Amino acid sequence: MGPVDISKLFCRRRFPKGIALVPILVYFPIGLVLAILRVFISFTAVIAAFLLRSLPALQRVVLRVLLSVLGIVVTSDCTNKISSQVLVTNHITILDEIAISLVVHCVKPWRNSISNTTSWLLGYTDFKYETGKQAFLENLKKYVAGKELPVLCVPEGAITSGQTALLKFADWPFLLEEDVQPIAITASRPAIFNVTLSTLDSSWTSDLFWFLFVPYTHFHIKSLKVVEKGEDESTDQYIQRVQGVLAEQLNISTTQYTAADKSQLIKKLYLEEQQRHRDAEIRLRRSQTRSPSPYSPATRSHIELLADRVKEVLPHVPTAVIKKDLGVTRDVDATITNILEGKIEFTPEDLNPVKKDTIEKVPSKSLLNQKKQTFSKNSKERQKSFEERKQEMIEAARQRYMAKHGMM
Amino acid sequence: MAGSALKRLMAEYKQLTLNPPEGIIAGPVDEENFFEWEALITGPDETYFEGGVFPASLTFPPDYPLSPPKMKFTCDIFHPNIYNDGKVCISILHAPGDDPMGYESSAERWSPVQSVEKILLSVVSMLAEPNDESAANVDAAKTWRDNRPKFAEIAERTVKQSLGLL
Repeated sequence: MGPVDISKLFCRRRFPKGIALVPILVYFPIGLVLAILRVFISFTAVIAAFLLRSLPALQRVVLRVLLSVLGIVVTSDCTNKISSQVLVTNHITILDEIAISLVVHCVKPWRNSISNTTSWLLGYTDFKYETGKQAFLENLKKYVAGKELPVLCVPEGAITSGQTALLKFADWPFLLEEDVQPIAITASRPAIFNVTLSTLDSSWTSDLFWFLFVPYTHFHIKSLKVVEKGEDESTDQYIQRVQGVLAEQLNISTTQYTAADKSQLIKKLYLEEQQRHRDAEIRLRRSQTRSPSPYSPATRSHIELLADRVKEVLPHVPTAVIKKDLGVTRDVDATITNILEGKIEFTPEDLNPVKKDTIEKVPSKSLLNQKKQTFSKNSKERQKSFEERKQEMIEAARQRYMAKHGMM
Repeated sequence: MAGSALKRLMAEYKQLTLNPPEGIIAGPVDEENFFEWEALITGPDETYFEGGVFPASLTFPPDYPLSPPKMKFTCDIFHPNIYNDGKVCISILHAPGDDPMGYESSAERWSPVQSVEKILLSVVSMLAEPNDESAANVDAAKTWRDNRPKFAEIAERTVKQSLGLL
């Protein structure tokens, strides 16, 4: 594995910075109209490709013309004749396979990353990828043994910028035959409209839009010499050798990062981005707290402080309920009063349930026939009632005791 | 925070008055001072203290319910978990950090979720089942452990005394 950092393998930005952005901005209205027109032309291209699939030679000519109208120009250097049943290529855009199939007559195995209908219309061949690697491999092997058309494989499994390094190759294309033929694909756009072909986390629809937006995208396809598996060579060594050959042609390095590592990187960057947003939000909130207006959302943390004080007194009241009332009263005592006086409805939180056995130990037999009690609003009446109840309780207990012990 | 303490005590008083636990009455001695309460606790049935009505005082700190109240029986009561001066020694009356006896499980400690009612119910449990492992009154604990008939006799006298029958 080279010392290349994985994030260097992909473009992060769709557009160039600074002055280079100006021509793109100027061109934007034209590009937009062009893209819309080309969307309709692309339907024609898809239909033409579909109708002419029994006449592959004619199909390729027609498609080449239609695709150049769409801004997809393909040139090739096929000095090394296609002579292997298995072709492997690097992966830089969503249209790599289509571009190659314009110059090389081959089959494109159907990958589950594209929707079924789309891949069928675009002339992919179904080798039952979704049934699992083993079955997929068997199907491909059977096909390759028939020696009809070469199979075009994309062993990287994920798009890179094509500028820095290759991802690790998957092994399946190398298990089909004893040789493979590498194909190097490069793509470029006019220097003044240098919109990135594909960014780290771009969707195929956005990539396609920018294909249709820019005046043209130039693909260059070069077939390399067939690489045969050495007799004493392990599959791993063989795969690495092919990767090396292709990388050398492209003048980039090789890595052992896989398509899964790319997904991880996307996830990691996404999470970091989220964290940055959260931090920014917290900073914003803090700076707002210092603002004096009592009704701005800034007083949030102040309310939280007050809520803590209420919670200390009334721990069973849910914090949300406390905060809601504090939002109105902005006063600890007023909120406590509101809650205690039952002005606010809430479901008590069971913070520290009393042990059941503690309660069960309480005598179950009624010792006193307590009347339905009232709680007067008048302090004196309450106190009178309290005194009376105490006397009643002692008196009743005395009577009961004397009755029980035959003292009467 | 004294205002909050007052409000909470008022709420508890109201709760205890409207829905009193069986055999328990509690409230401020004089509403001029809400931090001094009096409670009457009836000895649970089928225990040595059956039928007695025992008065106790509860003294609340200004930062109640952050700190627990102090509870003291104002009658003579011979019990392993009650000091000679009447002070009640049970875990619910201690905050988690404060552990003079080093015996309590923190689960039953004082916290603002506890209440006067829970304290009084714990005291009723304590009357029913003395805990002689953490004795406040060593004599009482010894008697309870070694001479149950004598303990019953003393308890009986306490009950009669509490009812003014002795």
